Amino acid sequence: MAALRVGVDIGGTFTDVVAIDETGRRSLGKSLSTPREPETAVLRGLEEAVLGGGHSLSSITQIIHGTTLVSNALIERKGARTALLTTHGFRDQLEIGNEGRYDTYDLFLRRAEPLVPRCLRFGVPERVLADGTVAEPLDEAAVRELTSQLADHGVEALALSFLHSYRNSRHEEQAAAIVREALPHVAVSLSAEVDPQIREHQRASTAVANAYVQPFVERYLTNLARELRGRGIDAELLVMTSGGGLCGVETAIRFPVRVLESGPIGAVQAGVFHARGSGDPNLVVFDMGGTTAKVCLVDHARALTTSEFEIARSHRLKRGSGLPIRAPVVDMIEVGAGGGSIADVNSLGLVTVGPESAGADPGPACYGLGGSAPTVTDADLILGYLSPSRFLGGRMALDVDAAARAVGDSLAGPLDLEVVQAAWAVHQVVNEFMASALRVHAVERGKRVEDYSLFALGGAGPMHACHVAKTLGVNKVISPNGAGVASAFGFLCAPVSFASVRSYYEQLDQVDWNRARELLQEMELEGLKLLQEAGCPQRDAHVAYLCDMRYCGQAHEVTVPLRQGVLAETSAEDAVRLSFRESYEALFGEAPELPVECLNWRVVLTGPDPRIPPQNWKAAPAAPPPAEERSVYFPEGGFRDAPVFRRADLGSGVNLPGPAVVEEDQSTFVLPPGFDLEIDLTGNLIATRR
Amino acid sequence: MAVPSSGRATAQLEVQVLWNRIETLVEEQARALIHTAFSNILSEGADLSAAVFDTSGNMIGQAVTGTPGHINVTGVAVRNFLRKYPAGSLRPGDVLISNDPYGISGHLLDIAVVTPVFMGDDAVAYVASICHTVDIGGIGYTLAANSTFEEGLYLPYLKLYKAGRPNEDVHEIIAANVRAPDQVLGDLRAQVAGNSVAARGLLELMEEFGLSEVDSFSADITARTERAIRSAIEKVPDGTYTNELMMDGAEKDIRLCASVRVEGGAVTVDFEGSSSASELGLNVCYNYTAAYTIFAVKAALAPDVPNNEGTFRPVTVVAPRGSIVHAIHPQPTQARHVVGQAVAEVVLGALAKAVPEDVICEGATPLWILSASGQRPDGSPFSFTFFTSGGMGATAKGDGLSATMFPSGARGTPVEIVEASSPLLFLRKELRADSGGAGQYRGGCGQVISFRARTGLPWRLPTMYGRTAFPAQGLRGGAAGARGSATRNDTETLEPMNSYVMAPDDVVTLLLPGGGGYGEPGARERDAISEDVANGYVSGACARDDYGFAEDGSQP
Repeated sequence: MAALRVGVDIGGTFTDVVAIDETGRRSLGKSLSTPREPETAVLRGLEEAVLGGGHSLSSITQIIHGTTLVSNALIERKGARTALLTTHGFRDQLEIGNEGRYDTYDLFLRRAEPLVPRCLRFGVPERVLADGTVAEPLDEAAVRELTSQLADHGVEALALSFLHSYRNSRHEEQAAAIVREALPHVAVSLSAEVDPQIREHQRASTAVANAYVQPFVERYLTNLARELRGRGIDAELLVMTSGGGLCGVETAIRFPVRVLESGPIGAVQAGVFHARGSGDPNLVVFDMGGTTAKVCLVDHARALTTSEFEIARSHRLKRGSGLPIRAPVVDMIEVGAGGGSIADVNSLGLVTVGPESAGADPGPACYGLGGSAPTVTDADLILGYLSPSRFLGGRMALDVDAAARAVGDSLAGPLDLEVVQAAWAVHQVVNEFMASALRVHAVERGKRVEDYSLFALGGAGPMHACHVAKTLGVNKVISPNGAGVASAFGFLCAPVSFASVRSYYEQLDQVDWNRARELLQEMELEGLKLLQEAGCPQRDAHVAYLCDMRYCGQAHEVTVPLRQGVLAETSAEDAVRLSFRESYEALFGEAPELPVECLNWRVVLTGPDPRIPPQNWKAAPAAPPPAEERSVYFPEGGFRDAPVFRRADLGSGVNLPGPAVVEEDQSTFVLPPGFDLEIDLTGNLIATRR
Repeated sequence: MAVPSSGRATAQLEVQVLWNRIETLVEEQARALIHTAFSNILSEGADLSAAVFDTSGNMIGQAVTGTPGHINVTGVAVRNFLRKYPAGSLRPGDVLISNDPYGISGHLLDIAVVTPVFMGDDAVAYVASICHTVDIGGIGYTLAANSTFEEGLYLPYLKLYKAGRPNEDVHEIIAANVRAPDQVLGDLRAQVAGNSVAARGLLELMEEFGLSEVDSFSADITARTERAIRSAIEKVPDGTYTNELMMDGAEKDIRLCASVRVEGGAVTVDFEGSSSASELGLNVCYNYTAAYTIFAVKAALAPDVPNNEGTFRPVTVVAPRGSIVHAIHPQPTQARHVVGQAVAEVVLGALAKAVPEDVICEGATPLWILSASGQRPDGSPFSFTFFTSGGMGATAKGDGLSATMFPSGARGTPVEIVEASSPLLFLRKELRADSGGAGQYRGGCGQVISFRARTGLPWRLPTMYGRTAFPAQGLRGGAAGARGSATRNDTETLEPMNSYVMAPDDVVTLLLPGGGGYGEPGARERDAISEDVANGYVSGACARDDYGFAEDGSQP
């Protein structure tokens, strides 16, 4: 009997399922998501994929899933009624934050509302100092008294975040024990467990978010496991984390804040899989959808990660307008530029695109659903990139005249341009926006974008990819086969992984290396245990030690990899300093000889990458006759007839010169003049600049 | 029309793309700086500016990070450099430096670094940044000096690098005069490196687009910006709108007067009538006054228009020489932000008389700067500076933000970082109930902050803050916010512009001011008042007195 691994991506609209057997054969399932009880859609999709592939449900050995539901619950404020317990005198840290504004000129600026209203923030007498010593013991009676208030307020979840608990967690633990005893049904999150790092605002914000979504995640995962068992499926259940690894159900329930961004990670993992098996280890994963574009760097077949992000950005996706969360996360940037993004002329007489979006309803003008504002999709239609008759596999006709009217009225008219010139301006501007965001991101990570290939996904990604590549000076564009279910497939490519962090803030020359070693070993043991629970034996785990370091006085840390065994050496200090200098130089070009300090110590444990046999695509070296010819606009010479191919008709080995268009149901690949296209052995479209 | 349509389209697209790329360049420059800077104020508070200029010193584009006091001064600063070093006198690899407090951004702590961008033998553009450095010697970051000579090292317009080689004399003089030479020189290196990131990018851009100069592009984009600003100003009814405010001073209270004349697409702001200069470092140079004036005009009338030379042209600033808003050499200026930030408030208050729905009520301006210093038990010195803030004013659209810096773009430092890096200990830091001015929209709440030192030794605390005598005023019937105050051991009131030696066990308690309210309190939504009471932003007593509620928060 075949051993099946199944990837499940529960999106806001659809739940996608990919089942894969040992030979690498894939079968797919798709069902409408059921956000109230997500397990229903999962089971439907699972049955379609597994039974449709000729397998039995009992042959499933592993189910890996990721979802946007957790972050949606947070963004839509549909989580539990949550309270915060903190050190007396500091209950407003959630609201005070860094006291800054994220936009200099906006007098009407709004901040993200904290998840806990002020009436549910409570201070209790206790105090731990920065070195971990107790200045004032926890007033246990006060905590006990508070529990009845919590009950009166109907609190369902509670976060505890005391000052300096990253250094000494005793008080949080004591208080948690009291609350758990009095209110056993309340979900309790300790900041010292969820995010044991210095900076009280971020730690409290992370603990609160964890508490806020915990009841939902627990309910859903428990139900899912029960339903699966009910169907006779005795499979290992794993969850995709935001950081690009997998974890067990227990871990996901305890630290739901780690799976917040699991939905979009699947696409990145699909890129990682490609990077592993191909000659393109460095990729820019470029996922352009209806309202936003997401971009992520994959470096030597590893997605770049970071340890802090913001969720629920309230204003135009601006940095600083969301809630800070500290948890390992793939470093993805999101730009308000998708197919539905609205184009306009700004006060300088220049075209701008987004972040306002026409959404799905009314949608772009060309949908004919009442939208009159010109969008990126309207421009792409006018330029001939999109087919008016074959959008979504022909299920939806697009109105070219409506698109031209919208672009004409709002853009071409005011700018005194022809409609097609205005449409090209929109296409170009949105490409420039995405390219700029990526360039700044690459500089911050010390990378050169020219060293990467573009891996294009999403409904609009393949249409814009080659022009974006040209703008960036990137020479190669990959449009993967099976992009429609890339996310669910990507989950199957991820290894089991767990990352831990502890703050130990000290000048490098003052570090107590025994203490540092103990911290790291403690985290390593904890991680190994969790990995084992997720099915990865200890001997297979890869261990990495890291430390967040900076020059004394700086506010930004660099995460520095520490060589194995370095802490045991007598010259640990010099060796760690050298590692810091190397990392610093790689990022900023020059590392001065100045005092250095350590803030956070990290351990990342990773299981082996799952082996997935490549799926061979049919070979057919000769290009078939095009399905049609269409008039397509390129700045080099204006409209011209270009051949249009169906993706399914192109076998591996085919070579085509641009211009050409390749269509499939969910997306359209545009190959501009100056690019050549090749279909590789697995059916990927590979475009290279001449 | 003479231009064929395809030519016009090309020109339009080129401007479009170039503009986007230049915005990206300066952003890259700023990020590189923030990440490598040593000054807590700079890297945590983003107290810097980064920008690109044409050959006449017109600012083309600027990074969006930063604080208004820096944003709008760089244009004038670069012209001052060019006056000393006309184009022909510079060579590739030269880098210029100065901290002229009267010609750049108002105090010696701000250092400007300017790099000419050469294409072949010609300087085709300039890249500049201004950063708040860690230390500049002299008396330190306090307003106590009586002249610039006491405030620290004054660097006239100099070459920091000559033809790619460090000017060792300048480096040595700086190193010998500041308390943290490694960090100060480290910041300068970061500035030089950031400038070269932008310079290199600009050259690549020019090559890609086949440009031999950027002056024409600069002329185009600044003209577009100027038109946009002028058309925003045209929407304001012509007239002269005056305002004045009183604020805490050092020797005496300070009066700021602003008369804003709107005429078509131009604004003239005249500060005639404002107080004469202070004996202490509260004086603001003309440049810094202009910066916050332009900030106020732009934020109220055209917040979305980019910032460049075109933004400045429609606004004329008149400030009497030698007054507190136009410092002249050698008047002391170290704490110029106190009055400088109030400049934005007095101008916004004047504009409120013309366009009340576009402005914001007075808030807790300026930010509160606390700079504790002393000795640790082992005898080693400590010194720690952090910023904190009261509440912002309300607007026609919503309540003021609590505990938020305005108009400064700076940020606070976490309690845990302060405690881990210094012997200071906080006893309390939370929002201050009843501090936001009542109104249809309530002013933002201030904070209550108590702290002490754990050294067992006496320690020093200079005070640099405001609104202890003059609360933030509301607009259109909204009430004033609560005044600020500071006490020692809850008994002795501290003065705002002074310096104290604290006893080992002294506890300092700060009550930070609240923002002004907007509109009649009677027009506030009843549910919003109930919520405020439930959440403790407003006490029952206040709900009764200000809004006519029953004391338990129930609606009448």
